[in-house]
Amino acid sequence: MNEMIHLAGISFFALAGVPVHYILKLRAKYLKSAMIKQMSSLLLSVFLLFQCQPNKPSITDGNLFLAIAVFDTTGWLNSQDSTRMTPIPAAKITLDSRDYEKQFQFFTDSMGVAVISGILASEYGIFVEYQISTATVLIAAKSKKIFNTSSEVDTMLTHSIAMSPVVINEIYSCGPPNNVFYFFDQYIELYNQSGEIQYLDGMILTRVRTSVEIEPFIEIWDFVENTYAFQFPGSPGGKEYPIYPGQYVVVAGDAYDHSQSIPGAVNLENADFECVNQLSSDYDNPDVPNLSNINTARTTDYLISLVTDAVILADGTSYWQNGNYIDIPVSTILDGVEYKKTTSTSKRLTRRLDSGYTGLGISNYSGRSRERITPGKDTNNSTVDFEVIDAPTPGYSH
Amino acid sequence: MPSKIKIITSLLVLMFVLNAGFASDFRINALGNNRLALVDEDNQLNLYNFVNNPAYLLFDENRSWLKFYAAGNYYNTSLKRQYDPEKEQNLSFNFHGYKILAHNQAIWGRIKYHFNSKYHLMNAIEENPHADDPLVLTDSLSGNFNTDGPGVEVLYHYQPFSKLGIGAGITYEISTGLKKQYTRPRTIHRNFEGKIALTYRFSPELVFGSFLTGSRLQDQIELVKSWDGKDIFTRRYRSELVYREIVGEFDRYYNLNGWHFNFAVQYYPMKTTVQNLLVFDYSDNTQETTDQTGVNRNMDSYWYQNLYQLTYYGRYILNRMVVGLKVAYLKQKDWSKHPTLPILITERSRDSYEFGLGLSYQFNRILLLVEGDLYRSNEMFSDYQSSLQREGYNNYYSGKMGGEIKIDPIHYIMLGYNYNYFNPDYYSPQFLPENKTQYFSVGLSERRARYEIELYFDYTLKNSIENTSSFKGWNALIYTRLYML
Repeated sequence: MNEMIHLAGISFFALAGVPVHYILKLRAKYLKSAMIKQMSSLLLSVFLLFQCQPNKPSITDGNLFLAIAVFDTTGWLNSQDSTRMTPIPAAKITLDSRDYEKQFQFFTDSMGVAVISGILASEYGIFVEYQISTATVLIAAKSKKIFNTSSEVDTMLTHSIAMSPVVINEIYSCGPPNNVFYFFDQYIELYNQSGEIQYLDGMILTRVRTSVEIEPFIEIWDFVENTYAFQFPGSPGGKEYPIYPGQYVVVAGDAYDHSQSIPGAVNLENADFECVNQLSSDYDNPDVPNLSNINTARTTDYLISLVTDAVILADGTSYWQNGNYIDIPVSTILDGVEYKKTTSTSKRLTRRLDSGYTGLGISNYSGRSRERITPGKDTNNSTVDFEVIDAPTPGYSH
Repeated sequence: MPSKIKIITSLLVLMFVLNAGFASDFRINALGNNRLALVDEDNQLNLYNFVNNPAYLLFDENRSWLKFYAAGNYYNTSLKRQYDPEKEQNLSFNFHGYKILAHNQAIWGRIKYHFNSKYHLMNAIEENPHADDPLVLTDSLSGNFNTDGPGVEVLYHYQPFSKLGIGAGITYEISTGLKKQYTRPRTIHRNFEGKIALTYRFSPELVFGSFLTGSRLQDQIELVKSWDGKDIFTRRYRSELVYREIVGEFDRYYNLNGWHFNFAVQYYPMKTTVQNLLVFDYSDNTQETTDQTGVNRNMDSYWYQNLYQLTYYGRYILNRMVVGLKVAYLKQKDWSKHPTLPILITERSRDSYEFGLGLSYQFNRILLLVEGDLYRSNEMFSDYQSSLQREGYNNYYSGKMGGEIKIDPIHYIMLGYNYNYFNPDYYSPQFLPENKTQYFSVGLSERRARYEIELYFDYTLKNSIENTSSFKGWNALIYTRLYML
């Protein structure tokens, strides 16, 4: 019985975290019976297992911190000394989590600083916007991992972009609900958000080339590489194809009543333009003016990915053939919109053209579309400018 | 003999008609869950019946037997948590066998097959979305989920010396499931457990027992695009409110590795009139969740849980009256963290105390039982990611009554009634509101020297305290045991 008491005592010491070598000494001193020693060895091994618990982290999520200072380096806010970095008060900062469906929005204070607390551990896209006038916005964008509690401080330098009078207003690409993989009722809708008549002559509508290999370069290159490129009739600077203030223009892949093929598909018979590849025997509605293919390496119609892609509209004054692709200088691009079905895919359009993306949650053949929340309103961030709508709205707003 | 065959055949037919659930403790359930003071061959206060230590098997069972039972249950409920089904039914078939191989060796085995159907399961595409871990995978629709599969369990006891017993056990279960609506996930559940055990009999009155169990549970969910080309659209919750939306095919793996240590002392100081059992349990579980797309595997979460429990059972047999006692303390905690970083996402703890007192009295032909249980726990739930904090006491109490009438030397009728009251369980990420439960049971049995046949039925009614939601369900079971010569 004495030995049992000693065994219980040694077990207690082991549970209480007494060092193993000391417990072994105790065992040698008090436990004489071989059987009891074997039992104590077994118990000791088990108690050692108790010590193998993983460490609980001391940092808690939802409690992280970031400070951002936003400066203007373009001279828009301080025209007397355009070389100085001028703090931007009341700039809107959007943190868009790459890991969760979470977005945080804050504004800078009078010193151009925003202190953001209570955020989740995640990689974020950080977008800064400050509207100077109806035609100009200062923007900045970067990606940042926020993973620890020590105060993260960052600086963001903005650059200005001129807001285009003609913008991409809606992109419908996923196809109607169907079981035969029909998606040919795609269209792009343009909108004149200015107060003046604009002209589409010679403008170029493209599908951006993207692959993992070129993605690291999209922020460095001064041009955007495109897979498909179709040009409006007329020449850049011409005045044959007007788009009036507040007018919608629908550019169809094929200006055809697709509901005759698939119930529920879009009737694009009355589209304003259609894309026709003159290098192939593409469908051509004789009543609708055509955009023509300018990429000699492509012999197919203008088609964009159903749920993940990017589209740009350029003024058409400059472009060149680069192998299988058409390269267009960023400076001639009027608008660009990126869309993707999930946050996990990488960015495919430079943040100078679209600092966000739209279309999350749209699946193939769901009949859903993406449209600007307010017609023509463009802050260069499709995440906040666009919304997903349940049905396409060609030529009108939802 | 032909009449017996007819009875057995008709019972087998009835068994297929009944939809039933689980029933190893059949007589206890039929008597209103009065366990503490019920003296029964399968409810002895010892290391096998109360602790499941295989190194005591030979001392608990002194005859070889074969057992078969079919069990089923069904319920429909509006008293439910977010991902609970509105209806559920289970059907299982179980074969057990126990064989004394020699004077110092025995083996026990079980084979079962189980069918489960859940109806109108909102969003959840896991078999058990309300498991202890906070991780849930959902789609956008409600649907029905069917699973089925076999299970095998073997226990072995060897007594090399009169005082020392060695035991081992293996359990393997596998089941596959399919949700019939979009996103049509297919689940594969695998559970493996291995156990080694020891007992040491200092004397017939004092026995020490211990076992160590290692377990590995893997739940796999396959999400594959269906023939109609529709994208798989899912949400991965890492906490109660924060999720990530994913479009595309992938496989999810929940790997739960755990071990369980048990140490127990069985002490009968006054032969069999005073029985004591002191049990210590410790279990430790770690779950890692990984998602696989093509050949790429990424860890999506990490969850850890441990649990200590100390329980004392006492039974005092005073001629016709038996008094049963249970006092227990449980400490449980778990936490989850970011899959790759040392950042805590959720944390929970529970300290609970339980006290139970049971009485039974054997009249000439009637056995009466009553039992009361009190449970109180201090619970804390912190979801740092969702900014949720819940803390409070959870009280639970139950009153139980049971009676068994001996119609003739071999036929018995059993009746039971339970009343339970539950506070909200703050430990659970999604918990039920305050509710009360009533449970009525009835059983019939024929007990002969060579075989036993039992029939059992119970009906459960739960209501939220505001009577805004309710649960109605029943269990049914047929059970036979054939003793070998």
